[in-house]
Amino acid sequence: MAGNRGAAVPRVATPVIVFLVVIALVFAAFSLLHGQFLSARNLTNLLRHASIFSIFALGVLFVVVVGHFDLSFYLVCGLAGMTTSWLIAVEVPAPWSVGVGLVVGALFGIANGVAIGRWKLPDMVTTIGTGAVAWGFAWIYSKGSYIWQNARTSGILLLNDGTILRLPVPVVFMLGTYLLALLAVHRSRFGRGFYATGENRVAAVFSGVHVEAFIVAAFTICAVLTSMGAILSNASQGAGSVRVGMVFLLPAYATVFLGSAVFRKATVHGTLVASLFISLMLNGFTLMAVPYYYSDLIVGIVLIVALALSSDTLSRLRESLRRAGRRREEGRETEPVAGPLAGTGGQP
Amino acid sequence: MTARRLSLRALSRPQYVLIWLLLVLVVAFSLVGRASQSFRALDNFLEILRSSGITAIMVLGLTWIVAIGEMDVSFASVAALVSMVTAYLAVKLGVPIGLALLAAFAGGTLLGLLNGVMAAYVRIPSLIGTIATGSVATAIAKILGGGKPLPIATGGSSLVYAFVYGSVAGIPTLFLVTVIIYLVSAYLQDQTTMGQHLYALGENRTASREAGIQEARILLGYFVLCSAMASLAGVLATAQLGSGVSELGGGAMTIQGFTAVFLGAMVVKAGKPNVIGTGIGVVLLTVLMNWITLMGLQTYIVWLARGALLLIGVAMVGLSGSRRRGQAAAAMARE
Repeated sequence: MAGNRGAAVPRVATPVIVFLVVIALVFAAFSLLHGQFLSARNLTNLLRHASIFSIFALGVLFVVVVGHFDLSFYLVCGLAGMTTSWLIAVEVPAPWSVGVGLVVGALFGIANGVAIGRWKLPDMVTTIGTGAVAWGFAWIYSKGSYIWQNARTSGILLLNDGTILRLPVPVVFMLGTYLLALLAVHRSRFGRGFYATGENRVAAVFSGVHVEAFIVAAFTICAVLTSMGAILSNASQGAGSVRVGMVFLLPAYATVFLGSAVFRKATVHGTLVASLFISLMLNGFTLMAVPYYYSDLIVGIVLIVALALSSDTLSRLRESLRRAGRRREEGRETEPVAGPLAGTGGQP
Repeated sequence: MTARRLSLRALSRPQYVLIWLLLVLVVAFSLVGRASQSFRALDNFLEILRSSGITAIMVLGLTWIVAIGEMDVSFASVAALVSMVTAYLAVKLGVPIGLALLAAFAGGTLLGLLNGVMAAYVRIPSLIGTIATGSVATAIAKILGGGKPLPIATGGSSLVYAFVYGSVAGIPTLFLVTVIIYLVSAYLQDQTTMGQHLYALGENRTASREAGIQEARILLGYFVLCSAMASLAGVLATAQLGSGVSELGGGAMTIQGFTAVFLGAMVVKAGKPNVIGTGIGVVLLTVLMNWITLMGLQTYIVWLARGALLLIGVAMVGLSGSRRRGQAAAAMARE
């Protein structure tokens, strides 16, 4: 990619423009298919849902950028949300409840980060384990049923219903987190550390990047942002649910990978645009009363298409085919060299 | 395992701790507590063997996928899809049950081919690829049943039903066949080049590739195998439950599978996933879940237990691995 910087601008711009056109077309299609789609009420709903969803996706983005996966966030955020709802039910003031909920989420994020960044445990299986533990804890408060006590009187619902400068609170949260993330990730040395960690860990270590700290930070940010999303989502439902994050696992990853397919790299703005697209689709299907399992199908297909279309993928496919062809041609000649390889290479 | 003689001293090694744990649990559950009487009933033991048979078949391929350093989170969804497709073809379309089973099995295996092509040739991270295929599979399974299970009335007469509920000399046929499959797999894994390639790829991809191991083709094969075994388990589960169930694709089965594989990795090969270990892990988990159900404990206890066991397994495997790597690095530094 280096060298042809002049040509790079239009090459990056084309898929972005195509994608924006696709979003506009989907938007137009839903407006034609359903009369209520363009109503002020639905557009506000759409905006609220998109805000909550994009906060989830932003959290996942950080983990993906450092080259890891987190399969616990959708259960950890349920625990955080339940903690907040339970504290509110026992009449703890709302700000404290939210704070403690976020801290619980953060603790799980730190645990993930330390286990994976410092102890080098495999990321997916570790997070599946911590997720299962979080899910178990989340059930303890109410044996898995909704917690709605005091929600109405405590003021927690303002997180959904309130407005700041005539913007709904979730939208303000989204704008705030994305602005911060944009500045931190793309406009600071701090943000470069995340990309350096994800792209080439060895090089990052030798360049003086505190790789372990960035991994812990990424998992913690993911846990806190998704916990925030869960609390907002609970506020919009008027009750705390252990299952609040479950619907976000697949769409959040689909969003991050769709964004990085369109923008050639996992970025904050790419995630924002992609999350608007995905929540637009989810909202449209909900409005048209399509059963929930169809949306999984569609988001799953979008994810596969996004992965297949990202140009990286195509070039890798060409490369692996070429290598297979070359091996077939050379046949025997490569094999005798194979002897003393056991000790070479290998990532530390 | 065959090379080393099984002596008492060998059995006291840390590699065999899980086996002792299993024995202790079984003895303790049969003697102590209010569920002990129902736990030690012969029928209960047979039920444990039968249901661990299905789980064991489902995660056999997963063991090797993890050993090779890849991920497949779609196996439970594949089983769910196969289960629902079987039921749908048989009940809604009137296809003969045998044909329905074969068609569903082929479909599930095809999904494995897709997983394998994505991971081996397109080089999409296998976690993301299989999240996508898994969610598509679960969604199709739910669409076929409208979100509900589909009962199969003809279950009683079919061959598969006889296989699941039949028994030879008092032991469930299903369990016997599972044991045979596992022994054959253990032989393939430990005594043939197939197993050597598997662990070589798991240790060091680059070195293995340079040594002439056909990385992509082997990866593809294991992904297909993983889905094929999951499909087989889906067929068996359909017969066991008498209906197509899309709930197989939920998170519980996925976590159960990974827990078994990572607990099993502590056994026999100390740090590497292997089939014998996985088999023991599956039986251990089934015993634990069975006891928790008999005790009538809350489901969240099951999740806490599963999550904690998985973390213990991962931590032991991961930390022993990094210690090994650390020693190797130290040895290299000395030279």
